[in-house]
Amino acid sequence: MRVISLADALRALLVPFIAALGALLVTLLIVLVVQRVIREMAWQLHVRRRRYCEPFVNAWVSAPADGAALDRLVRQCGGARRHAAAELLLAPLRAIAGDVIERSRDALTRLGLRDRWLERLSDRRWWVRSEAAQALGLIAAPEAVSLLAARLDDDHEEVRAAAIEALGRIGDDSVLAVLVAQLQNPRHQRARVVSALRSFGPAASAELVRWSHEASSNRQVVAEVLGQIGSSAGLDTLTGWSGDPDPALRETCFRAIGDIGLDERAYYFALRALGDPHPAVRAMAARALGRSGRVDCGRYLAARLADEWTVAAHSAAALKQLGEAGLTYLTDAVRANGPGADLARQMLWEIEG
Amino acid sequence: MRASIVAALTAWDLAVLLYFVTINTIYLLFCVVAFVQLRDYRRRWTPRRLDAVLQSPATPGISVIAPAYNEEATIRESLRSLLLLHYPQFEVIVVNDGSKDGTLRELVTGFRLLRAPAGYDQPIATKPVQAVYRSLANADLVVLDKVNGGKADAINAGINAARYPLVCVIDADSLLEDEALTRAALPFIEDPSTLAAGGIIRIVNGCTVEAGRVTRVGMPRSWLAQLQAVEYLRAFLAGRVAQSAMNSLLIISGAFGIFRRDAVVAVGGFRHDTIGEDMEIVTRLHRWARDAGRPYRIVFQPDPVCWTEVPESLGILRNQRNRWQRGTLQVLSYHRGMIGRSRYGAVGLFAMPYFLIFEAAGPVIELSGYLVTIVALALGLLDWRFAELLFLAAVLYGTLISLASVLLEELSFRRYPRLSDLLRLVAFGVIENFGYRQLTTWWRVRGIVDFLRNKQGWGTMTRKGFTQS
Repeated sequence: MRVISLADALRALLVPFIAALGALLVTLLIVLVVQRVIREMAWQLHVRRRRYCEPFVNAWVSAPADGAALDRLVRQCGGARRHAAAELLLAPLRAIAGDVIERSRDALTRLGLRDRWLERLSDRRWWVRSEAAQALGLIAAPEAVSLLAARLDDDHEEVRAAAIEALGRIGDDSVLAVLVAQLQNPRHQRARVVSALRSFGPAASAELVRWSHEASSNRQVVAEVLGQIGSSAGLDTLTGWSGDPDPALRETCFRAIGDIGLDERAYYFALRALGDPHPAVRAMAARALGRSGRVDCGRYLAARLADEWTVAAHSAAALKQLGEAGLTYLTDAVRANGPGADLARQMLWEIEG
Repeated sequence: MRASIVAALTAWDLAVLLYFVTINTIYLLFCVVAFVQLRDYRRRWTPRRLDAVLQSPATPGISVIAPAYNEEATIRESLRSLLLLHYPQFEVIVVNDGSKDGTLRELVTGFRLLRAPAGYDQPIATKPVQAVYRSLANADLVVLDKVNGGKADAINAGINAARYPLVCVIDADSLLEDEALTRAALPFIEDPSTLAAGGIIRIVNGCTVEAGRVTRVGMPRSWLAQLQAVEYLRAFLAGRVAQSAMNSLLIISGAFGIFRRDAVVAVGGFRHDTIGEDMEIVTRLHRWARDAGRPYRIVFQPDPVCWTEVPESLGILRNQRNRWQRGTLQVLSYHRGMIGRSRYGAVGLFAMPYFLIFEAAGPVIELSGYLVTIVALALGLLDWRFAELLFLAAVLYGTLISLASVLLEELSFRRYPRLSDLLRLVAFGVIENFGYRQLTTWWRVRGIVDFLRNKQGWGTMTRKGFTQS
């Protein structure tokens, strides 16, 4: 009986508690669902507007330049529809180049969006700044260059990334120095800066070399980036630095030379570096020689199969790249013992496989 | 006689009732604590502070250890994703634990690996490492090929080869988000006494994976995986966040955890003779630090996300739950000396007793409650009001806790972007209390029986591979 009364007491507590908790949670859930529904409805409206604007945007972008088509686009897709039109105009710009960029820029300027984005680069919300930077980059708006350069120091990573990407797309040489300086800024992903620099072509290599003269500590990063950009304009500088007392710099130089491709001068520097006192430098020199495709370096590479493992591994891989000539050296090396022979066997297995 | 039976049944039912009220109330408190913690976490770790971590010269290097056994379906994708992580200084060590399928071949051909000499100390004894492979293209990738010795042995081999002060242990079939390492390393930078940190595990089934990255988050399609999605939210966002706040976290998931290498080496590495090696190492670290009287923290970070595939078939899920139950019992048995001891602080006085009552004995109590109530009602031996109360405490209260966990997700990270996903989470939060929970309770009881019969083994997990997710 006492147990039953205990159960009744528990029920008297539990039922109102669960009811109150349930009511609270369900109310909260309803609020959150309503929030989501509103967002989803807004999205549906946006999709409908986009569908409406699509023919007008296509008429202006795809057909031969026609002022009337632009007028129609501005008239029909202005006001609340302009964001849908902007999305349609910007979407293809991520993948294509040419006069479509100019046409999109004209249309978006007429729709008042370019000025709006310029203003929004200073918005307090980071995602708004980021979207504005991306859009201005896609339409390659030269007016945005100084404002985008200022955003390279933004508090938010996404905005900084968008600013770098946009500056790369605009390709205005006046910001090259600012962009290059970001290579030593750990707040930026190096790969993104390099990707932006690549779009500047040989001018980027020249600026990198100029920047390397500002401080010797910049040389290492410049050597790396020259290799990543892959411009032969950097070869002279790299071969010049390949005799530097710092082995890390020499290693990076030969890695970069291998990535860019070797000219006659670089080839002889790489051959000489096979005798460098530092194994990492010898390894990168072997790698670069493998990429040269010149069969006359085969015997020098074969001699390095008896070197430290990293050097031997790169030499074996380089011999594999030399084709028939390398195959001969690898077959000879198999007869010996040690890691060099193991590596040669592995290369032969890879060639056969 | 009948009166005695009725009294005994009623008393037992009341005990079960109190059990359900207690566990659900503890979880409700977990949800409240977690809500506050998650809000603080999101306020504190702004992008600016994360940047500071990336810039800091004090940011410690991390060796990511991925033990792999028969993972040929996912190993390339997983490894590619690991190599793209955004962290200033890290290496990836894949340990092929004597796979019988083409895992090693996938690694060697996919990443152009070369056999290299091994040249490092081996402070923890492991099964022999047959070969070390390195990549010419990426100096931060190492593959160890060793004789099969189980997951713990593979992790230990990886710890031996690690050259950085922190080791991150992950499952080779899991995917880490770009900033997962940075976020998981935060507690170590913030407080050097941190011994271990775990991240949240989310379910990759139903998500779109491209080039080793989750590019679109979505709810799984299968019922079983959707039910597990709710379970994972409850366990991680409510349970572990709150336990971490009390420094009484007992589990850092084997799918993603970061440990101080020197501490793990000092305690002798991961134990081979348990199937709950992730819980065991954390418990042992607590014990080691408390015994030595050293200040320490073991924390859970709610944001570094590790995506993993969960079972979509009843058989595999049954094996998994059976294994987890046996693992929990093994660890509690190894460290029974910590239970209820004040020298082990919140771990001895709260976490271990909690695990003993609600995780180890819980399934038996729950199942007996369901069975006794059904049988006694059928025989007219029990007042129907008890059944009603039990339903309220076990099912309705449980449903509200599931709902609270889903709301916690919605109020914090909101990783499921679509409204339909939220509604499905809510629906499955309700559904799981009507059958699924009872089924897992049954599997866990079977796990207890298997533990008592000293049954060993992991069972199997068939992977679909991420591209099909």
